[in-house]
Parts: sequence; C-alpha cells; structure tokens
Amino acid sequence: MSAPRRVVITGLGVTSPFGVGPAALADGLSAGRDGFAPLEGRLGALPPGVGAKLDLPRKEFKLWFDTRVLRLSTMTRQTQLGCIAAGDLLKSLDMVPDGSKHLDRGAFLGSFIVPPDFAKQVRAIRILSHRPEGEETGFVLDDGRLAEAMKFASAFDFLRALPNMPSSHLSIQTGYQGPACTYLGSDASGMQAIGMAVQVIRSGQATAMIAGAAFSPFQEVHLAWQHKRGLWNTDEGAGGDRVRPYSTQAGSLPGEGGAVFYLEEREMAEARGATILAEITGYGQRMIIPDAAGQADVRAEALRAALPDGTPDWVAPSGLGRPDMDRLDDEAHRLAFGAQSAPAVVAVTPHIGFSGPATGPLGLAAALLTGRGDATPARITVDADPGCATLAGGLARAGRTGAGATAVASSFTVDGVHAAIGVRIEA
Amino acid sequence: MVSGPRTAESQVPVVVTGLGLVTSAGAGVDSAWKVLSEGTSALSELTLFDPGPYGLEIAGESHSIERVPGQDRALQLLDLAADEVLGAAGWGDTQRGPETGVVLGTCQGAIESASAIHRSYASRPVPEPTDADRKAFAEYRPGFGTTRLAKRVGAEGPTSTVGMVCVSSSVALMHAVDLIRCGEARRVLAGGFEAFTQFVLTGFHCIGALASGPLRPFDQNRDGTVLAEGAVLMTLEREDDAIARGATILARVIGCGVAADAFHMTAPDPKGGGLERAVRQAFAEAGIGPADVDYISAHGTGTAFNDGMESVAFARIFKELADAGQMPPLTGVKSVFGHTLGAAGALDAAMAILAMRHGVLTPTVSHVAPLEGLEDWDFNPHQTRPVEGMDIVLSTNSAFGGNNSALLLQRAGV
Repeated sequence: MSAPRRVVITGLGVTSPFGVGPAALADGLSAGRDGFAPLEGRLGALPPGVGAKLDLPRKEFKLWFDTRVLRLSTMTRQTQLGCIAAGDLLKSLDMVPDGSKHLDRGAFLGSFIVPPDFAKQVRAIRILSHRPEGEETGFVLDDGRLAEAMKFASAFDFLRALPNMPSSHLSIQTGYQGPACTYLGSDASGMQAIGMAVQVIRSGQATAMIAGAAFSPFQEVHLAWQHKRGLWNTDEGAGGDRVRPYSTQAGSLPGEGGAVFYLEEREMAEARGATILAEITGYGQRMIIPDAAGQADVRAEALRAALPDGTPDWVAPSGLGRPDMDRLDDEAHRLAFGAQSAPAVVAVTPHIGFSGPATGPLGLAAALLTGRGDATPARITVDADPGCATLAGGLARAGRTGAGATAVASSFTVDGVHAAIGVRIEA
Repeated sequence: MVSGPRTAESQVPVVVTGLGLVTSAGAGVDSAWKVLSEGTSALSELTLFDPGPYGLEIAGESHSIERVPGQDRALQLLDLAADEVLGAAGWGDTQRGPETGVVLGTCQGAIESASAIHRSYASRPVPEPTDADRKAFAEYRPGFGTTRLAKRVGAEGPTSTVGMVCVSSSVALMHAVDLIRCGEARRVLAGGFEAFTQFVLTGFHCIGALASGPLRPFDQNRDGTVLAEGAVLMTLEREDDAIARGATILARVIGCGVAADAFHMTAPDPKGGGLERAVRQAFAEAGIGPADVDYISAHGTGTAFNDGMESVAFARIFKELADAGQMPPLTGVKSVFGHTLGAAGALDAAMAILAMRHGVLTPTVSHVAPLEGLEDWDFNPHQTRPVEGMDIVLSTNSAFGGNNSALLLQRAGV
C-alpha cells in the first residue's frame, strides 16, 4: 500500500472586521486591536448590542471576479464574505479566475443560512404566521393571509439563499468543476469543510481544494438564539464590549468574516514551485453525547487526531467564553497533549468576535500566520477561570515560530459537534 | 486533469444494511414500495394549507404524520424514518460510540421552527429574547436534526449536515461512504429529510418550477416539478463488519461521483457536462463502464432545464449502447413520490435498491410522450415488470447551483 497523499496549504484568504486579506488580520492581531462597535438599529436593541462587522469592499469586487458573470447582489452576506476571501486568496496566488475551467479542483465551505438571506420570504412568513390568541408559545399559519404574503416572495431571493450557494457560487466564480459542498448545521462545519477537503485530496478525488467557511451572525433571530444559548457577553459594565475567553469574564460578542485555504497535494504544489505555508498533520471530528461520561476525553481524541505526534506550539481553541465550554476545552487540551504541555494560545474571539462556523477557520488562519511569524498577536493577560488555567495562561505565552512549528485549531461547539485540524509550518 | 476516483487502498467495501423512510406514500419501506411497484402515484390533494394561490392540483404531502402545533414537521418525518431504519438494521448498544457517524442532507432542515420564530422579531420594538420559544430556538439551525439523531443512536464519530439542495442526501450518502473508507468511521447512519412547507413552496412557485398537474419526467408535456416531503435513512457499514454481525446486506455501494457545472446559479450546464463527469467518476471508481449498468434511476424533476440537461448527458454517456439499441432502461421515481429536495437522492437510491432486490423495473408514471429524439429510450411508462439480472443501478441527482452526483449500487450477493 502506498503512503497516503500529503496535503499542504499554499494560500490563505481572509475577510474579517479588520478588512480583506491575511495581512489585515495579522496587523489587527499584532496591534492588539478589536473590531467591536455598538450595533445600530434593530440589532442594537438586542443583546449583546455590540459586534464586529466588516465594511464590505463592494466596488473592489471586480478585482477578484468577473462581475459580468456574477455580482455581489446575487449573493447572501455569507456567500459574499466567502467569495471575497477566495478572490483575495486566488489573487495572491496569481490565479485570478479567467474563465478557465478546472476539472480537478473543488470548493468546500462551512456556512449557515440565516433569515436575512430570505428577507422577502421571511416577510411573507411573518405575515402568514401568528401566535394563537391566549397562548404564550407556538405559532400557526393563517392561510387567509397567503395572498398578501405572496406579494413579498421573490424568486431571486429564494434562489440566492439556497443552502448550497456559498460553495456553488465559489465553483461558478472560480470555474472549479470538481467536488463542491456546503456544510451546515454546527459551528464546527467550517472545520469539517476543511477536513473533508483534505480527505478529498488524499483519496485522489481532486488535486486542489478551496476550503473554509464564511458567516455573518448579524440578524435578529440569530442574535436572539445565541443569546438564549448563553453565548453573549451581557456585562453592562466596562467589560461589556470585550471578549476574554478562559477568564472570569463570561460571554462572547458576535463577529463576521471568512477564512479559506488553498489546499493541494504536496507533489503538485512542489511541481508548480508553490510556496508551501504548512502541511496538514491531521484532522479529527467527534460528536459529544450530552451528559455522557468522558466528554473531555472525546474532545481530546479530536485534538490528538489533528496532531498525532508531539505537542503543538500554538493552539487556536474555540474561545467561546461560555464557562462550561471553556472548562471542557481546557481539560481536553490537557488530556490531549499532557498536563505539562504549555502551548501558546491564539484566540481570535477577543479581536473579531464569534463568527459561528467561520470561527474555527479564522482561528486556523491566525495560528498559521502566527506560526509563520507573519503575525505576532498581542499577548493577553486575563483573570483566569480556575478551570481554564492552561488555556488562560497560554493567552499570555508566546510559542515557537518558523519551520517545524506546529499548531492545532479546533471548533468545540455547544451542539456537541467538534472538529480539529493540525498543521506543521514550512519554511 | 479530471477529478478522479478514489484510490485503490481506500476502497473498503461499504454496504447498506438498513432502510427507513417516510414518503408521500406513507410511513415505512413497505408503503413506498407498494405504491411504486403497483405503478400508482402517491401524489394527492394538499391538505396542509390552501393550495389555491399556488395553482396546485396535487402535492407530495405525507399523510402519515399529524400536524401538531409546536412540533416541527421535518423532525417528525426524521423520527419516523429513524424508528424504522434502526430496527431494520439491528443497530443497538453495540453500534454506539466513536466509530459511528451520522451524515444527513437537507435543504431547509427544521424550517417550520425557524420560520415561526421570525414573527417574534418582526414586531417593534424588538423584543427581549424570552424562554417562551425555547424549543423553536433549539431547532432553529439546519443541523439540529443531525445532532439530535446522533445523540439518539449514541454516535460519537463524525457528524455533519450537507446542504446541497437536491443532491443533499446523495452527497450525504457519499460522504458517509468516504468516512468509512478513510477509516473515520466503521458505520454511518446517512440520508436526508425535508418537510413540505409554504416557505419552500413559495420559493418554487416564484421561480415558476411547479407543475400544474402530474410530474412527468422526460415527457414532452412536462411543465414542472411537484414538491414533496419525506425522510430517508440508510445504515452504511463496512462489509466485513456487516458479515461478521450477520446483518442483512441490501446492496453494496461500488461507485460515487460528484462534479460541479461551474456554470450558473440557476441553470444547469445545458450540455450536461457536470453530470457526465460525476457519472464517469463513479464508473472509474467502480471499475465498470456504461455497458454494466442495468438500470438508470434519473433525477427526473419534470422541469424543462433538468430533464433536458439529463437527456443530453445520458445520450452522450450511453451513446454506443443507445446506437446499438441497448440503452439501459431509465425511470424517474419522482413521478410517483414527488420531489423531496433534501431527501431526494436517498429516496432514489433506496427505491433503486428495492428494485434490485425484487428483480423488477419500476415505472415512470404519468409519462406519455418521450422527449423528441428519445423515442427509443425505455422509460417504462406503465407498470412494473420483472427484469433478469438487475445487478447494478446508476442513481443520479442534480441541483440548482450546478451540483451533480452519481451513485452506483450493486445488488447484494453478486
């Protein structure tokens, strides 16, 4: 049996509240900045009232894609964030789409359809549905309002918001005709998209894949949902506009963005003289059964699968800021890599907030940039939650950089789905 | 270079050992098979809501579940299918743990729950989130059904949700096969689910894709699709594991192919290039060719674009056979059950497996006059007929956005 194909990262594309491109993310992290600002209008009326948004560079879209083929207006916010990140990635690789088709390349993205993507459809549904009189919960649909509701339904609105559109748009824009898939459903789906793309290359189904995630949480229902899951920082004091995972200050803040990676078979990358940023060391994904024993052990298995040999120099953990999850995260890292291991931590949530399925890939991007020395994230000293001493301490530590340095990024989600990816930095 | 088949060392044989489904024909494999094999239609008058504004005569509503306020219809369907498949496969405590995964495809997931809570946030001022809609909030994300099912079966391995519209569940099945072949899991519960909701129906109505009457795949008089609901689940596992535990093997998955058109967000490649590549990839993986296919289960939505694209692709793939008058028969089961979107690929595959096991070719009902140029193709328009040696089925699906899948299934015991 021949050795499995080795998969390397040769490009990185990012959209974050700091702007478009890995350099903008690196600069923001290194300067210790954050992108948080008060949310306006209806969003601002909901907890947490603060978030990190990106001013989308609409006019510059033509730098990356042929706007005669597709325009930003044909995309939902998540698709825009993903396509712009991919466009920037391809531009950096001198692979700007030129109409050519590529049969051996594909695109996997993690995302999550949120209601603003169906704006008109949602308006129609709002007209249709109402709460039964005298009831405190539940809704019924009122057929009598159907004709009125239909006035607000739009074919285009429906199509652009279909769940497969993030990856489908990407394949259309890039001309990639290999496997394309959008993974939904959990905050780990971005990491799953990368992990499955690695598997696609290893199994020979494609030679190169663009993989990652893009997400924007800025919609009323989504903010309310995450609030009910205990995710947001609702501190009304001085700490209300910041995120400090693994500390005594609980809660995160919403942020939007996307991170995509150009993954390819090492042999192909070397043959074309590509700059190899890192090699994938492994991928692990596990499902946690609530209330089952050994929850941290299962998480640790995912981490070990990502880096089967040795301990990481850098970890990019979830950094959710929810105490129960943070403590499990900390325990899992100790179980996976040893109680004596003291990895340095790169956490994106203090800088750009929690962006659902894109958080993991953005963390991986930050770890990659840091491991390579392209970013030197400002170290953060926190008042550690006693159950999170390892990761809290890691926020203040610096790790090894340069060739051979290793990093593990992970998404440990409230839903129970967990995924981790490991990389070894190349010269 | 074309995207390729999986390498030989990753070719761990994967088999299907259980089926569970709910369709417009009712709950259970037997209900669906009875309607399909008798050549009748499961499509009926819509009772969930007034179909008048949509101009619908029939729809693929499942009358097996009652509308219960506060219960999401998609999750009800999924629960019923899970009840059946877990019993049929004989999965129990032995299958719990990290070597078991769950992969589901869906277009909209628990959309009823999601759409219901939107109204809360339409009012002004924006309300403070309360606990009143806790359940709807919990079910809001599209992957809720997947993780809930994983928790039910005790699956601690890979769990993911594929959102690829009409190829969602066929890609989910392939994803499951990949997970088993690459060693991420030894067994996976996979499939898809979709509920009939006004949310989706309104969207299809807007794009003008709904039929005024029956769904007529590959028929000159086709005028659109008929939406339906359903949930279809399969247990997939390593063949050696299945044999070791004495499981009934229903079929073997011998080839998978996926390819993107990279053409347009709404229209398929009119030349069917993506579908052809997906099929050829599946052939290459299985080590077989067009002449080995005994039956094609086509996507067959009854829309002008889809059926046209599929016809062109199949004409090219099977040209030599067609020229020799040996084109394998091709049918569309959506003519019986309607188009179940996120469950469609798994439903097509499930019916193909049953057809192989029974050694029959099921009909394309409502098909009267084939598309021009396809007069010699065998759409089996009338009734089920026995077929000798139906060993390999090609099941294909395509989706908005230009995604295509091809699954090759082999009859157990071959």
